[in-house]
Amino acid sequence: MNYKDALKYGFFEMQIARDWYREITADVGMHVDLIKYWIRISALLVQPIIPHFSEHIWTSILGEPQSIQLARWPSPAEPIDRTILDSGAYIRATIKSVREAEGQFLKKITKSKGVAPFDPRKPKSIHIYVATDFPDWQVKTVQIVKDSYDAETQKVDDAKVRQALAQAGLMKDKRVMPFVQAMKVCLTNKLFSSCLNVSIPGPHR
Amino acid sequence: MSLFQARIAKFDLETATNRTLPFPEAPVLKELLPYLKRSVGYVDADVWPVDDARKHEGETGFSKNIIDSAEPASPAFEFRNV
Repeated sequence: MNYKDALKYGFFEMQIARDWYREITADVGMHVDLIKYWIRISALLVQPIIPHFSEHIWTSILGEPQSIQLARWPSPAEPIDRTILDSGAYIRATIKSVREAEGQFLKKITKSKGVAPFDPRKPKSIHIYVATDFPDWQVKTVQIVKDSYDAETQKVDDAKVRQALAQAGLMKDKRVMPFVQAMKVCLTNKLFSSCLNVSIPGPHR
Repeated sequence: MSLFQARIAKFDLETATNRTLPFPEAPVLKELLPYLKRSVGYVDADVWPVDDARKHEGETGFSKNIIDSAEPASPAFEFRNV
């Protein structure tokens, strides 16, 4: 019944994970322990679909004394580390952003018939800027929304927000109101404290 | 705000609303540099904390508006032909 899912997660996604790992570590090389673990898990996951081949990997390559038919379904030896998964997602997202940013320049070149400040097809270099603090206007805006939030009714006093924003001279900034809206959406869905938290937790920085 | 929504898409909801990352960004990005050079084809690629980059403001390849656009969890990229 779930044959397709079994094949998808047990085989194809495993292949994709390996390809990505091989690609991203090409300069330093893959870790032998991780590769052995990967072979082991792969053999176990696809065993119901390709029993003979799995058996061959299990006994000949991994040198297991007993048949794979007697092996248990794998379970993680340690709890899953969300931080590592998150940093992996962050790396992929960053690569995507870089490629998209380059794509924007290519579009500009086509539009302007060859005149652009940067041509991704020519020899090029990149600076990546990393910020540890949020921009001042965001910190101020968050504080204003925080001050206008009524914990009892769980509502933000819009009039109060507008007044405070105008006082702080933030109303003219086009980025501010969409930001306030996004924060309000967040507040209706999530806990108050996590939405308005703009500080970076200490140990990570 | 699109950036905010993009962040929700990128990470799980909790990380997005927290507006913080559970790991330090700069070391992770530095690990990524060899791959970026090889796969996107940069002669040179480097990671700059915003504070350090500001000291070079005005020099070639360091634009104030790009440096200013970097946010936690959302680094900014400045390209140049060499």
